[in-house]
Amino acid sequence: MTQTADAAPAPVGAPPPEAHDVAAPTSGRALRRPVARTVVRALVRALVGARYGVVVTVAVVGLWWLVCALRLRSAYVLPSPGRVWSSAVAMTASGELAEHVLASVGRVLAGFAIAFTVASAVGVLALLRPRMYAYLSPALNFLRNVPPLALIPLLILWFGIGETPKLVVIVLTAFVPMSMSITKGLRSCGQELLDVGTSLHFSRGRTFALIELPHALPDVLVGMRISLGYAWRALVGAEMFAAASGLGYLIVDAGHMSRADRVIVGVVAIGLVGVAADRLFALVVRRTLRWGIDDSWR
Amino acid sequence: MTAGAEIANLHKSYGLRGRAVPVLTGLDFVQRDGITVVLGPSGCGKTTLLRIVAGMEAPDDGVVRVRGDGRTGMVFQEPRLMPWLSAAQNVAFGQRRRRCESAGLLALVGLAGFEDALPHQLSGGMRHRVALARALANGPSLVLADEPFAALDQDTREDMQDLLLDVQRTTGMNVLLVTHSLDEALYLGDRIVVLDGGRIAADHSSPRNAGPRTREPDRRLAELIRATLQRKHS
Ligand SMILES: Nc1ncnc2c1ncn2[C@@H]1O[C@H](COP(=O)(O)OP(=O)(O)OP(=O)(O)O)[C@@H](O)[C@H]1O
Ligand SMILES: [Mg+2]
Repeated sequence: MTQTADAAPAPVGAPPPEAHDVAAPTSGRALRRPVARTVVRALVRALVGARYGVVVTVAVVGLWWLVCALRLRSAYVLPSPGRVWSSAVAMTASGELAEHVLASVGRVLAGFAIAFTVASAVGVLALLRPRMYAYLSPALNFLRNVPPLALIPLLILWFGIGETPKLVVIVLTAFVPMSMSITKGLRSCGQELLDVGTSLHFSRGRTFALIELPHALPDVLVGMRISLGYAWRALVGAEMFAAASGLGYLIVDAGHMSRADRVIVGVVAIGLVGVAADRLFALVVRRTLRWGIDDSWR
Repeated sequence: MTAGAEIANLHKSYGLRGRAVPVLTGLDFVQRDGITVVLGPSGCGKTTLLRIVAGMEAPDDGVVRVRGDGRTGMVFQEPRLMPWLSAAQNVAFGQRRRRCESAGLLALVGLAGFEDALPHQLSGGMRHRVALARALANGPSLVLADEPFAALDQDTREDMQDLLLDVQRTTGMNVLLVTHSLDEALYLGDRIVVLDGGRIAADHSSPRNAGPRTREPDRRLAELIRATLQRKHS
């Protein structure tokens, strides 16, 4: 549902509109009022837009609180919402949480960038050199069906316990859906559009740049979005071994210490950052692309 | 003679369920200046002929040559616009052409004010007109047009037909236009060739340019062509 500013219900406590708001735009009072009203309206709109999420969150936390209040589970296994909240506040205040979030985001972005580069190269190869791609394709198919986590022991043997094996796990995880989507997008351009290039005597390069690439863009973006989620979810696996930072490390470490409250803070942080990254990506795409946007981007 | 197609003994068949279906069987044709209309019933191979002339399809046998400077404009049977480009960008597609010039071309086909519309925001007939403007954008010496007006309503179609005649007269470009409408062929054609049975079944010069422009068809020629088509189908 779209709610226009005018249709938004007047927030309780907001001053009633006054005639001089419009009539005397130079007065400071009159200038501040509309700004305040705009801010309040934006907040109300955001709340209305997120109402399903708010309802679900309240219900889940309420149920959780109830289970704790009735002592159905020991606080050791399931800490109360209040306990988790105070842990979260403490971890935020000390900067600990931000540090782990930044470490994880950095790793995922680096892995994502590498995966995107390789997946694009594979897609272009599939399009321009199908014969060479035919040699590569069985290996890619094999890789697609091996969970990257299964490679961890080998990766540690080969690369040690530094950043490299963590990065490799993220790259492999992000690469799979992205390469499939990019390759599909680049190779699925119909003959109808390619013929237009032929009628204009396009070179191979021009056909690629002016027809095949823009045609593939929606598929490329879908692949990027899906694999961003994949890469983010691979975090815990990647940071499980010999890491000293990152949300994955935070969770595993808290688990070793039997600190369920800190585990929950880590899990919620992963979820929230993941959702935020996805919404941000969708927003940027929606704002820049005028074509090929379907409902999944809303 | 300036730009145009020269075709000798053209053969083309398509494989359909392992069987070769002949479409063009020894077609000979040399295009002359002006507007040449290829007339024929649905499925007789008009699009196939045009695609071979445009180099999008290879002939099985025969020689196909296109005289001229290579500046060819093509109107496909479907609009085939780039869905990610605006109308103006589609008109200028692949050209180093300034925006105002494509706006001028859009105005010519009756689409002033739609420069920024994306193809999916245009009606079917409007898309066909954008495609027509695109074919004229590089100042072609030869235009290959595959039923360019078939999707338009009567009034718009007549406007676009007149536009084509005007542009042809002022620029001297040559046109190879495919249609299944006898009326359209009689109105536009300096020369009308009937395609049937995989080759040219009849070849008529039309006296259109001799007199004033009129939508009243030349009855004698109409009867002649109708007779050719009927003879072929009885
Ligand atoms: N790619 C193809 N594969 C197989 N058969 C084809 C192919 N293209 C065309 N044909 C066949 O060739 C014949 C001629 O097709 P074509 O498109 O040239 O007809 P047309 O004269 O343009 O018809 P219309 O007026 O309906 O557009 C048809 O019988 C069609 O089935
Ligand atoms: Mg056709």
